[in-house]
Amino acid sequence: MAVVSAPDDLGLPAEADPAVRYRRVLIARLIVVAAVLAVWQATVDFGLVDPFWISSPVLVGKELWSELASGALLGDVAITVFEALIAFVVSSTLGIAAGLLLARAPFWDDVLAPLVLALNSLPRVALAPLIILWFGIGITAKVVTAFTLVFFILLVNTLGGAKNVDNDILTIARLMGASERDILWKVTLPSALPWIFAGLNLGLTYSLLGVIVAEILASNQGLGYVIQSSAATFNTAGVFAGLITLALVAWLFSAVMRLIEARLLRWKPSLTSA
Amino acid sequence: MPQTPAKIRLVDIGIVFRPRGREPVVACRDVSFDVPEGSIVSIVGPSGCGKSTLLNIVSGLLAPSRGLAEVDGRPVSGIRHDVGYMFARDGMMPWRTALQNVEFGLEVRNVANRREIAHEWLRRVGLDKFAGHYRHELSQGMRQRVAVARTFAIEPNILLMDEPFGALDSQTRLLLQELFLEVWEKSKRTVLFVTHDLHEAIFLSDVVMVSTNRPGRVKSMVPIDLPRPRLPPAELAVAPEFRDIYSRIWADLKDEVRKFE
Repeated sequence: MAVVSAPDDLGLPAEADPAVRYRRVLIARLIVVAAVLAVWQATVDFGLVDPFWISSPVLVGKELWSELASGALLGDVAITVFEALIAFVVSSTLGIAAGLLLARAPFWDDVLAPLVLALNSLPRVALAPLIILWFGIGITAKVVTAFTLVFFILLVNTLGGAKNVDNDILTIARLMGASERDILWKVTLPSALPWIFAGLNLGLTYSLLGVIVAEILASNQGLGYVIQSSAATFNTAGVFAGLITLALVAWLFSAVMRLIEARLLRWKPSLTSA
Repeated sequence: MPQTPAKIRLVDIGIVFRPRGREPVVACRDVSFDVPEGSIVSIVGPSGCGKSTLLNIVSGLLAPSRGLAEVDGRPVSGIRHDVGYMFARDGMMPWRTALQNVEFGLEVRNVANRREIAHEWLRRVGLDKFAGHYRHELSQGMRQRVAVARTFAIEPNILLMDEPFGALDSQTRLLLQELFLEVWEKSKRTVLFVTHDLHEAIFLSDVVMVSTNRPGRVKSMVPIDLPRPRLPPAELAVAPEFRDIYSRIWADLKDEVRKFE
Protein backbone atom coordinates (compact mmCIF):
# COMPACT_ATOMS: atom_id res chain seq x y z
CA MET A 1 0.00 0.00 0.00
CA ALA A 2 1.77 3.10 -1.21
CA VAL A 3 1.51 6.24 0.86
CA VAL A 4 -0.47 8.90 -0.92
CA SER A 5 1.87 11.46 -2.43
CA ALA A 6 2.21 14.90 -0.90
CA PRO A 7 0.13 17.70 -2.45
CA ASP A 8 3.25 19.06 -4.19
CA ASP A 9 3.57 15.88 -6.18
CA LEU A 10 0.03 16.13 -7.45
CA GLY A 11 1.24 18.80 -9.86
CA LEU A 12 -1.71 21.08 -9.26
CA PRO A 13 -2.62 22.71 -12.57
CA ALA A 14 -2.80 26.45 -13.08
CA GLU A 15 -6.60 26.24 -12.71
CA ALA A 16 -6.12 26.09 -8.96
CA ASP A 17 -5.39 29.82 -9.04
CA PRO A 18 -8.83 31.48 -8.89
CA ALA A 19 -7.72 34.57 -10.82
CA VAL A 20 -6.41 32.49 -13.68
CA ARG A 21 -9.52 30.36 -13.67
CA TYR A 22 -11.78 33.40 -13.68
CA ARG A 23 -9.97 34.84 -16.68
CA ARG A 24 -10.35 31.57 -18.55
CA VAL A 25 -14.06 31.47 -17.77
CA LEU A 26 -14.46 35.02 -19.11
CA ILE A 27 -12.59 34.24 -22.32
CA ALA A 28 -14.55 31.02 -22.89
CA ARG A 29 -17.78 32.94 -22.28
CA LEU A 30 -16.88 35.53 -24.91
CA ILE A 31 -16.01 32.75 -27.36
CA VAL A 32 -19.40 31.09 -26.81
CA VAL A 33 -21.24 34.37 -27.44
CA ALA A 34 -19.11 35.14 -30.51
CA ALA A 35 -19.72 31.63 -31.87
CA VAL A 36 -23.50 31.94 -31.49
CA LEU A 37 -23.46 35.32 -33.22
CA ALA A 38 -21.20 33.98 -36.00
CA VAL A 39 -23.45 30.99 -36.67
CA TRP A 40 -26.50 33.27 -36.68
CA GLN A 41 -24.85 35.70 -39.13
CA ALA A 42 -23.56 32.87 -41.32
CA THR A 43 -27.00 31.23 -41.47
CA VAL A 44 -28.35 34.43 -42.97
CA ASP A 45 -25.30 35.26 -45.14
CA PHE A 46 -25.25 31.82 -46.77
CA GLY A 47 -28.94 32.14 -47.48
CA LEU A 48 -30.02 29.22 -45.27
CA VAL A 49 -32.79 31.25 -43.62
CA ASP A 50 -34.38 34.46 -44.81
CA PRO A 51 -33.40 37.40 -42.51
CA PHE A 52 -37.10 38.30 -42.53
CA TRP A 53 -37.58 35.51 -39.94
CA ILE A 54 -34.48 35.65 -37.83
CA SER A 55 -32.92 39.00 -38.73
CA SER A 56 -29.12 38.94 -38.21
CA PRO A 57 -26.60 40.23 -35.67
CA VAL A 58 -25.60 43.05 -37.99
CA LEU A 59 -29.20 44.11 -38.61
CA VAL A 60 -30.03 43.92 -34.90
CA GLY A 61 -26.91 45.96 -34.11
CA LYS A 62 -27.96 48.63 -36.57
CA GLU A 63 -31.50 48.66 -35.17
CA LEU A 64 -30.20 48.96 -31.58
CA TRP A 65 -27.88 51.77 -32.59
CA SER A 66 -30.54 53.79 -34.36
CA GLU A 67 -33.03 53.33 -31.53
CA LEU A 68 -30.41 54.33 -28.99
CA ALA A 69 -29.40 57.34 -31.07
CA SER A 70 -32.98 58.54 -31.36
CA GLY A 71 -33.42 58.13 -27.59
CA ALA A 72 -36.64 56.19 -28.07
CA LEU A 73 -35.29 52.95 -26.62
CA LEU A 74 -34.01 54.57 -23.42
CA GLY A 75 -37.45 56.04 -22.80
CA ASP A 76 -39.04 52.61 -23.14
CA VAL A 77 -36.40 51.04 -20.89
CA ALA A 78 -37.02 53.72 -18.28
CA ILE A 79 -40.78 53.07 -18.34
CA THR A 80 -40.38 49.30 -17.98
CA VAL A 81 -37.74 49.58 -15.26
CA PHE A 82 -39.86 52.11 -13.38
CA GLU A 83 -42.96 49.90 -13.51
CA ALA A 84 -41.03 46.79 -12.53
CA LEU A 85 -39.31 48.48 -9.60
CA ILE A 86 -42.55 49.97 -8.24
CA ALA A 87 -44.24 46.58 -8.53
CA PHE A 88 -41.25 44.88 -6.92
CA VAL A 89 -40.99 47.24 -3.95
CA VAL A 90 -44.72 47.35 -3.22
CA SER A 91 -45.31 43.60 -3.64
CA SER A 92 -42.20 42.60 -1.70
CA THR A 93 -42.92 44.91 1.21
CA LEU A 94 -46.51 43.74 1.50
CA GLY A 95 -45.57 40.10 0.86
CA ILE A 96 -42.89 40.10 3.58
CA ALA A 97 -45.20 41.87 6.03
CA ALA A 98 -48.01 39.39 5.32
CA GLY A 99 -45.62 36.46 5.75
CA LEU A 100 -44.40 37.73 9.13
CA LEU A 101 -47.97 38.40 10.26
CA LEU A 102 -49.16 34.93 9.28
CA ALA A 103 -46.19 33.37 11.05
CA ARG A 104 -47.39 35.03 14.25
CA ALA A 105 -51.02 34.03 13.72
CA PRO A 106 -51.08 30.26 13.22
CA PHE A 107 -54.89 30.26 13.19
CA TRP A 108 -55.06 32.53 10.15
CA ASP A 109 -52.19 30.66 8.60
CA ASP A 110 -54.32 27.50 8.78
CA VAL A 111 -57.36 29.33 7.44
CA LEU A 112 -55.55 30.95 4.52
CA ALA A 113 -52.94 28.33 3.59
CA PRO A 114 -55.04 26.43 0.99
CA LEU A 115 -56.36 29.69 -0.47
CA VAL A 116 -52.87 31.07 -0.86
CA LEU A 117 -51.81 27.80 -2.46
CA ALA A 118 -54.74 27.92 -4.89
CA LEU A 119 -54.07 31.53 -5.84
CA ASN A 120 -50.36 30.87 -6.12
CA SER A 121 -50.97 27.89 -8.43
CA LEU A 122 -53.20 29.89 -10.76
CA PRO A 123 -51.27 31.06 -13.84
CA ARG A 124 -51.55 34.75 -12.94
CA VAL A 125 -50.84 35.85 -16.50
CA ALA A 126 -54.41 34.73 -17.18
CA LEU A 127 -55.54 37.57 -14.94
CA ALA A 128 -53.83 40.18 -17.11
CA PRO A 129 -56.79 40.78 -19.47
CA LEU A 130 -59.09 41.36 -16.49
CA ILE A 131 -56.57 43.65 -14.83
CA ILE A 132 -56.22 45.67 -18.04
CA LEU A 133 -60.00 45.89 -18.24
CA TRP A 134 -60.08 47.29 -14.72
CA PHE A 135 -57.05 49.55 -14.73
CA GLY A 136 -56.62 50.53 -18.38
CA ILE A 137 -53.37 50.68 -20.30
CA GLY A 138 -51.43 52.89 -17.87
CA ILE A 139 -48.77 52.01 -15.33
CA THR A 140 -51.28 50.76 -12.73
CA ALA A 141 -52.30 47.72 -14.77
CA LYS A 142 -48.63 46.69 -15.16
CA VAL A 143 -47.90 47.09 -11.47
CA VAL A 144 -51.02 45.14 -10.48
CA THR A 145 -50.23 42.29 -12.89
CA ALA A 146 -46.72 41.98 -11.46
CA PHE A 147 -48.12 42.30 -7.93
CA THR A 148 -50.30 39.20 -8.33
CA LEU A 149 -47.12 37.24 -9.03
CA VAL A 150 -44.58 38.76 -6.68
CA PHE A 151 -46.71 39.23 -3.56
CA PHE A 152 -47.36 35.51 -3.17
CA ILE A 153 -43.76 34.54 -3.79
CA LEU A 154 -42.61 36.78 -0.96
CA LEU A 155 -45.49 35.77 1.29
CA VAL A 156 -44.79 32.07 0.93
CA ASN A 157 -41.02 32.41 1.31
CA THR A 158 -41.15 34.76 4.29
CA LEU A 159 -43.70 32.56 6.02
CA GLY A 160 -41.52 29.50 5.42
CA GLY A 161 -38.47 31.26 6.82
CA ALA A 162 -40.31 32.71 9.81
CA LYS A 163 -41.69 29.30 10.75
CA ASN A 164 -38.24 27.72 10.56
CA VAL A 165 -36.47 29.69 13.25
CA ASP A 166 -34.14 27.53 15.33
CA ASN A 167 -35.94 26.58 18.54
CA ASP A 168 -32.80 26.78 20.66
CA ILE A 169 -32.23 30.35 19.59
CA LEU A 170 -35.85 31.27 20.32
CA THR A 171 -35.71 29.68 23.77
CA ILE A 172 -32.46 31.36 24.70
CA ALA A 173 -33.64 34.73 23.40
CA ARG A 174 -36.86 34.51 25.44
CA LEU A 175 -35.07 33.42 28.61
CA MET A 176 -32.67 36.33 28.22
CA GLY A 177 -35.62 38.68 28.31
CA ALA A 178 -36.33 39.38 24.64
CA SER A 179 -39.80 40.84 24.09
CA GLU A 180 -42.04 39.64 21.25
CA ARG A 181 -40.91 42.70 19.36
CA ASP A 182 -37.23 41.86 19.90
CA ILE A 183 -37.96 38.33 18.74
CA LEU A 184 -39.54 39.62 15.53
CA TRP A 185 -36.82 42.10 14.61
CA LYS A 186 -33.74 40.49 16.08
CA VAL A 187 -34.50 36.78 15.67
CA THR A 188 -37.29 35.93 13.22
CA LEU A 189 -36.45 38.48 10.55
CA PRO A 190 -32.68 37.90 10.35
CA SER A 191 -33.22 34.15 10.58
CA ALA A 192 -35.72 34.26 7.70
CA LEU A 193 -33.52 36.56 5.62
CA PRO A 194 -31.99 33.83 3.42
CA TRP A 195 -35.52 32.65 2.57
CA ILE A 196 -36.67 36.19 1.96
CA PHE A 197 -33.75 36.80 -0.38
CA ALA A 198 -34.50 33.67 -2.32
CA GLY A 199 -38.00 35.16 -2.72
CA LEU A 200 -36.67 38.58 -3.66
CA ASN A 201 -34.43 37.15 -6.37
CA LEU A 202 -37.36 35.30 -7.84
CA GLY A 203 -39.68 38.26 -7.25
CA LEU A 204 -37.48 40.61 -9.25
CA THR A 205 -37.60 38.31 -12.27
CA TYR A 206 -41.34 37.94 -11.90
CA SER A 207 -42.02 41.66 -11.56
CA LEU A 208 -40.28 42.14 -14.87
CA LEU A 209 -42.29 39.27 -16.33
CA GLY A 210 -45.61 40.66 -15.08
CA VAL A 211 -44.86 44.11 -16.38
CA ILE A 212 -43.72 42.88 -19.79
CA VAL A 213 -46.76 40.65 -20.25
CA ALA A 214 -49.10 43.54 -19.44
CA GLU A 215 -47.17 45.79 -21.82
CA ILE A 216 -47.40 43.24 -24.61
CA LEU A 217 -51.15 42.88 -24.08
CA ALA A 218 -52.05 46.54 -23.88
CA SER A 219 -49.69 49.47 -23.90
CA ASN A 220 -48.22 52.25 -25.96
CA GLN A 221 -44.83 52.38 -24.26
CA GLY A 222 -42.22 50.17 -22.60
CA LEU A 223 -40.06 47.29 -23.75
CA GLY A 224 -43.00 44.89 -24.02
CA TYR A 225 -44.68 47.34 -26.32
CA VAL A 226 -41.49 47.70 -28.42
CA ILE A 227 -41.30 43.93 -28.87
CA GLN A 228 -44.99 43.56 -29.61
CA SER A 229 -45.23 46.47 -32.05
CA SER A 230 -42.03 45.46 -33.86
CA ALA A 231 -43.41 41.97 -34.39
CA ALA A 232 -46.73 43.41 -35.54
CA THR A 233 -44.88 45.37 -38.26
CA PHE A 234 -42.68 42.38 -39.22
CA ASN A 235 -39.62 44.21 -37.89
CA THR A 236 -37.68 41.13 -36.64
CA ALA A 237 -34.56 43.19 -35.94
CA GLY A 238 -36.70 45.41 -33.69
CA VAL A 239 -37.99 42.36 -31.79
CA PHE A 240 -34.47 41.09 -31.21
CA ALA A 241 -33.27 44.56 -30.21
CA GLY A 242 -36.07 44.67 -27.62
CA LEU A 243 -35.28 41.17 -26.36
CA ILE A 244 -31.58 41.90 -25.99
CA THR A 245 -32.29 45.11 -24.10
CA LEU A 246 -34.71 43.23 -21.88
CA ALA A 247 -32.11 40.55 -21.16
CA LEU A 248 -29.62 43.27 -20.22
CA VAL A 249 -32.12 44.90 -17.85
CA ALA A 250 -32.94 41.56 -16.23
CA TRP A 251 -29.26 40.74 -15.84
CA LEU A 252 -28.57 44.14 -14.27
CA PHE A 253 -31.45 43.65 -11.85
CA SER A 254 -30.17 40.32 -10.63
CA ALA A 255 -26.58 41.57 -10.42
CA VAL A 256 -27.64 44.41 -8.11
CA MET A 257 -29.73 41.97 -6.10
CA ARG A 258 -26.78 39.62 -5.68
CA LEU A 259 -24.64 42.50 -4.42
CA ILE A 260 -27.22 43.44 -1.79
CA GLU A 261 -27.65 39.81 -0.82
CA ALA A 262 -23.92 39.24 -0.44
CA ARG A 263 -23.75 42.27 1.82
CA LEU A 264 -26.73 41.37 4.04
CA LEU A 265 -26.06 37.65 4.18
CA ARG A 266 -22.31 37.76 4.61
CA TRP A 267 -22.75 35.58 7.69
CA LYS A 268 -23.79 32.70 5.42
CA PRO A 269 -20.87 30.33 4.84
CA SER A 270 -21.61 29.73 1.17
CA LEU A 271 -21.73 33.42 0.34
CA THR A 272 -18.62 34.50 2.21
CA SER A 273 -16.53 31.82 0.61
CA ALA A 274 -17.78 32.63 -2.87
CA MET B 1 -28.34 20.59 55.38
CA PRO B 2 -29.21 24.07 54.04
CA GLN B 3 -27.21 26.56 56.08
CA THR B 4 -27.73 29.07 53.30
CA PRO B 5 -31.30 29.81 52.16
CA ALA B 6 -32.61 27.89 49.16
CA LYS B 7 -32.31 29.88 45.96
CA ILE B 8 -34.12 27.24 43.94
CA ARG B 9 -36.54 24.88 45.62
CA LEU B 10 -38.32 21.95 44.01
CA VAL B 11 -41.32 20.63 45.94
CA ASP B 12 -42.91 17.28 45.04
CA ILE B 13 -42.45 17.79 41.34
CA GLY B 14 -44.17 15.26 39.12
CA ILE B 15 -44.18 15.31 35.34
CA VAL B 16 -46.41 13.27 33.09
CA PHE B 17 -46.09 13.50 29.32
CA ARG B 18 -49.13 12.49 27.32
CA PRO B 19 -47.98 11.83 23.78
CA ARG B 20 -50.96 11.70 21.45
CA GLY B 21 -52.19 8.17 20.82
CA ARG B 22 -49.69 6.57 23.19
CA GLU B 23 -49.44 5.65 26.85
CA PRO B 24 -48.70 8.58 29.18
CA VAL B 25 -45.10 8.67 30.34
CA VAL B 26 -44.24 9.58 33.91
CA ALA B 27 -40.89 11.30 33.55
CA CYS B 28 -40.40 11.98 37.24
CA ARG B 29 -42.33 11.94 40.48
CA ASP B 30 -42.03 13.37 44.01
CA VAL B 31 -38.84 15.24 43.25
CA SER B 32 -37.96 17.60 46.09
CA PHE B 33 -34.62 19.25 46.73
CA ASP B 34 -33.06 22.64 47.30
CA VAL B 35 -30.28 24.46 45.55
CA PRO B 36 -28.75 26.74 48.17
CA GLU B 37 -27.80 30.27 47.16
CA GLY B 38 -24.38 30.45 45.50
CA SER B 39 -23.92 26.71 45.09
CA ILE B 40 -23.76 24.31 42.17
CA VAL B 41 -26.04 21.30 42.25
CA SER B 42 -25.75 18.67 39.54
CA ILE B 43 -28.36 16.16 38.53
CA VAL B 44 -27.08 12.84 37.23
CA GLY B 45 -29.23 9.93 36.20
CA PRO B 46 -30.11 7.54 33.41
CA SER B 47 -31.43 8.91 30.14
CA GLY B 48 -35.11 9.73 30.19
CA CYS B 49 -35.40 10.36 33.94
CA GLY B 50 -36.59 13.92 33.37
CA LYS B 51 -33.35 15.78 34.05
CA SER B 52 -33.76 18.38 31.33
CA THR B 53 -37.44 18.65 32.12
CA LEU B 54 -36.59 19.79 35.65
CA LEU B 55 -34.55 22.64 34.17
CA ASN B 56 -37.45 23.58 31.92
CA ILE B 57 -39.70 23.73 34.97
CA VAL B 58 -37.35 25.99 36.91
CA SER B 59 -37.05 28.30 33.88
CA GLY B 60 -40.83 28.41 33.53
CA LEU B 61 -40.74 26.96 29.99
CA LEU B 62 -42.86 24.05 31.23
CA ALA B 63 -45.39 23.75 34.03
CA PRO B 64 -45.07 20.64 36.20
CA SER B 65 -48.00 18.21 36.28
CA ARG B 66 -47.74 18.23 40.05
CA GLY B 67 -45.76 20.09 42.64
CA LEU B 68 -44.08 23.43 42.58
CA ALA B 69 -40.82 25.10 41.72
CA GLU B 70 -39.68 28.20 43.60
CA VAL B 71 -36.98 30.71 42.90
CA ASP B 72 -36.16 33.23 45.64
CA GLY B 73 -39.08 31.89 47.62
CA ARG B 74 -41.61 32.71 44.92
CA PRO B 75 -43.32 30.11 42.76
CA VAL B 76 -42.30 29.95 39.12
CA SER B 77 -45.21 30.80 36.86
CA GLY B 78 -44.52 31.54 33.27
CA ILE B 79 -41.25 31.98 31.47
CA ARG B 80 -38.50 33.65 33.52
CA HIS B 81 -36.32 36.39 32.12
CA ASP B 82 -33.56 36.29 34.69
CA VAL B 83 -32.15 32.90 33.79
CA GLY B 84 -28.89 32.00 32.10
CA TYR B 85 -29.52 28.86 30.07
CA MET B 86 -27.02 26.69 28.24
CA PHE B 87 -27.54 23.54 26.18
CA ALA B 88 -25.23 21.08 24.48
CA ARG B 89 -26.09 22.91 21.27
CA ASP B 90 -24.56 26.36 21.30
CA GLY B 91 -27.66 28.31 20.21
CA MET B 92 -25.52 31.00 18.60
CA MET B 93 -27.29 33.27 16.16
CA PRO B 94 -25.42 32.63 12.91
CA TRP B 95 -26.25 36.10 11.59
CA ARG B 96 -24.47 37.77 14.50
CA THR B 97 -20.75 37.89 15.19
CA ALA B 98 -19.38 36.37 18.39
CA LEU B 99 -19.41 39.81 19.98
CA GLN B 100 -22.97 40.57 18.85
CA ASN B 101 -24.12 37.23 20.21
CA VAL B 102 -22.74 38.11 23.64
CA GLU B 103 -24.36 41.52 23.31
CA PHE B 104 -27.82 40.16 22.53
CA GLY B 105 -29.02 39.70 26.11
CA LEU B 106 -27.67 43.10 27.10
CA GLU B 107 -29.30 44.67 24.07
CA VAL B 108 -32.80 43.44 24.90
CA ARG B 109 -32.25 44.67 28.47
CA ASN B 110 -31.13 48.08 27.18
CA VAL B 111 -27.78 47.98 28.94
CA ALA B 112 -25.96 51.14 27.91
CA ASN B 113 -22.32 50.01 27.79
CA ARG B 114 -23.15 46.60 26.33
CA ARG B 115 -20.31 46.65 23.83
CA GLU B 116 -17.67 47.03 26.54
CA ILE B 117 -19.29 44.38 28.71
CA ALA B 118 -19.49 41.97 25.79
CA HIS B 119 -15.85 42.63 24.91
CA GLU B 120 -14.82 42.02 28.49
CA TRP B 121 -16.66 38.68 28.55
CA LEU B 122 -15.17 37.56 25.27
CA ARG B 123 -11.77 38.35 26.76
CA ARG B 124 -12.53 36.29 29.85
CA VAL B 125 -13.41 33.24 27.75
CA GLY B 126 -10.30 33.79 25.64
CA LEU B 127 -12.01 34.86 22.44
CA ASP B 128 -11.10 38.54 22.23
CA LYS B 129 -9.40 37.92 18.89
CA PHE B 130 -12.55 36.34 17.48
CA ALA B 131 -15.03 39.09 18.29
CA GLY B 132 -15.86 39.68 14.63
CA HIS B 133 -16.18 36.03 13.66
CA TYR B 134 -19.44 34.41 12.65
CA ARG B 135 -20.62 31.06 13.95
CA HIS B 136 -19.42 29.05 10.95
CA GLU B 137 -15.95 30.50 11.41
CA LEU B 138 -15.66 29.16 14.98
CA SER B 139 -14.91 25.66 16.25
CA GLN B 140 -17.47 23.85 18.41
CA GLY B 141 -15.41 24.64 21.50
CA MET B 142 -15.25 28.33 20.60
CA ARG B 143 -19.01 28.43 20.04
CA GLN B 144 -19.54 27.00 23.49
CA ARG B 145 -17.17 29.62 24.89
CA VAL B 146 -19.33 32.27 23.28
CA ALA B 147 -22.32 30.62 24.94
CA VAL B 148 -20.57 30.83 28.32
CA ALA B 149 -19.80 34.52 27.76
CA ARG B 150 -23.34 35.21 26.57
CA THR B 151 -24.79 33.42 29.59
CA PHE B 152 -22.68 35.21 32.21
CA ALA B 153 -22.76 38.63 30.51
CA ILE B 154 -26.37 39.27 31.51
CA GLU B 155 -25.52 38.53 35.15
CA PRO B 156 -28.36 36.07 35.44
CA ASN B 157 -30.08 35.46 38.73
CA ILE B 158 -29.69 31.70 38.32
CA LEU B 159 -27.91 29.46 35.82
CA LEU B 160 -29.50 26.40 34.28
CA MET B 161 -27.09 24.17 32.41
CA ASP B 162 -28.34 21.27 30.31
CA GLU B 163 -25.26 19.21 29.46
CA PRO B 164 -23.57 22.35 28.15
CA PHE B 165 -20.32 20.57 27.33
CA GLY B 166 -21.88 17.31 26.21
CA ALA B 167 -21.23 17.81 22.51
CA LEU B 168 -17.54 18.64 22.87
CA ASP B 169 -14.55 16.35 22.43
CA SER B 170 -13.11 15.23 25.75
CA GLN B 171 -10.09 17.56 25.80
CA THR B 172 -12.11 20.62 24.94
CA ARG B 173 -14.67 19.58 27.52
CA LEU B 174 -12.01 19.56 30.27
CA LEU B 175 -10.88 23.05 29.26
CA LEU B 176 -14.43 24.38 29.21
CA GLN B 177 -15.25 22.87 32.60
CA GLU B 178 -12.21 24.59 34.03
CA LEU B 179 -13.14 27.85 32.34
CA PHE B 180 -16.68 27.60 33.61
CA LEU B 181 -15.57 27.17 37.22
CA GLU B 182 -13.06 29.97 36.89
CA VAL B 183 -15.76 32.32 35.68
CA TRP B 184 -18.23 31.03 38.24
CA GLU B 185 -15.82 31.59 41.16
CA LYS B 186 -15.95 35.33 40.51
CA SER B 187 -19.72 35.67 40.85
CA LYS B 188 -20.86 32.50 42.65
CA ARG B 189 -24.24 32.40 41.00
CA THR B 190 -26.61 29.58 41.84
CA VAL B 191 -26.35 26.79 39.27
CA LEU B 192 -28.50 23.78 38.51
CA PHE B 193 -26.48 21.55 36.22
CA VAL B 194 -27.63 18.47 34.32
CA THR B 195 -25.02 16.04 33.04
CA HIS B 196 -24.32 12.45 32.08
CA ASP B 197 -20.71 12.85 32.99
CA LEU B 198 -19.99 11.82 36.56
CA HIS B 199 -16.52 13.38 36.52
CA GLU B 200 -18.02 16.65 35.44
CA ALA B 201 -20.71 16.52 38.13
CA ILE B 202 -18.17 15.91 40.91
CA PHE B 203 -15.66 18.40 39.60
CA LEU B 204 -18.16 21.25 39.42
CA SER B 205 -20.70 20.64 42.14
CA ASP B 206 -21.31 21.22 45.80
CA VAL B 207 -23.99 18.56 45.77
CA VAL B 208 -24.75 15.80 43.29
CA MET B 209 -28.35 14.68 43.04
CA VAL B 210 -28.57 11.10 41.79
CA SER B 211 -31.85 10.39 40.09
CA THR B 212 -33.47 6.98 39.79
CA ASN B 213 -34.43 5.41 36.52
CA ARG B 214 -37.75 6.60 35.05
CA PRO B 215 -39.90 7.74 36.73
CA GLY B 216 -37.08 9.87 38.11
CA ARG B 217 -36.92 10.28 41.87
CA VAL B 218 -34.23 11.56 44.18
CA LYS B 219 -32.12 8.51 44.91
CA SER B 220 -29.47 10.37 46.90
CA MET B 221 -28.03 13.81 47.48
CA VAL B 222 -24.26 13.45 47.73
CA PRO B 223 -22.33 16.42 49.13
CA ILE B 224 -18.98 17.01 47.42
CA ASP B 225 -16.64 18.20 50.16
CA LEU B 226 -13.72 19.07 47.97
CA PRO B 227 -12.11 22.45 48.67
CA ARG B 228 -12.68 25.35 46.30
CA PRO B 229 -11.20 26.60 44.11
CA ARG B 230 -11.03 23.09 42.74
CA LEU B 231 -8.03 21.51 41.10
CA PRO B 232 -8.18 21.27 37.31
CA PRO B 233 -10.38 18.30 36.35
CA ALA B 234 -7.53 16.17 35.01
CA GLU B 235 -5.61 16.51 38.30
CA LEU B 236 -8.63 16.17 40.51
CA ALA B 237 -9.62 12.93 38.82
CA VAL B 238 -6.60 11.12 40.25
CA ALA B 239 -6.96 12.44 43.82
CA PRO B 240 -8.03 9.74 46.34
CA GLU B 241 -10.90 11.87 47.79
CA PHE B 242 -12.29 12.23 44.32
CA ARG B 243 -12.19 8.48 43.76
CA ASP B 244 -14.03 7.82 47.01
CA ILE B 245 -16.84 10.15 46.02
CA TYR B 246 -16.87 8.77 42.51
CA SER B 247 -17.30 5.18 43.69
CA ARG B 248 -20.01 6.20 46.09
CA ILE B 249 -22.07 7.97 43.44
CA TRP B 250 -21.39 5.31 40.86
CA ALA B 251 -22.64 2.65 43.30
CA ASP B 252 -25.95 4.55 43.51
CA LEU B 253 -26.15 5.24 39.83
CA LYS B 254 -25.06 1.84 38.54
CA ASP B 255 -28.25 0.05 39.58
CA GLU B 256 -30.39 2.70 37.98
CA VAL B 257 -28.51 2.69 34.72
CA ARG B 258 -28.57 -1.11 34.72
CA LYS B 259 -32.36 -1.12 35.06
CA PHE B 260 -32.47 1.15 32.10
CA GLU B 261 -30.25 -1.14 30.04
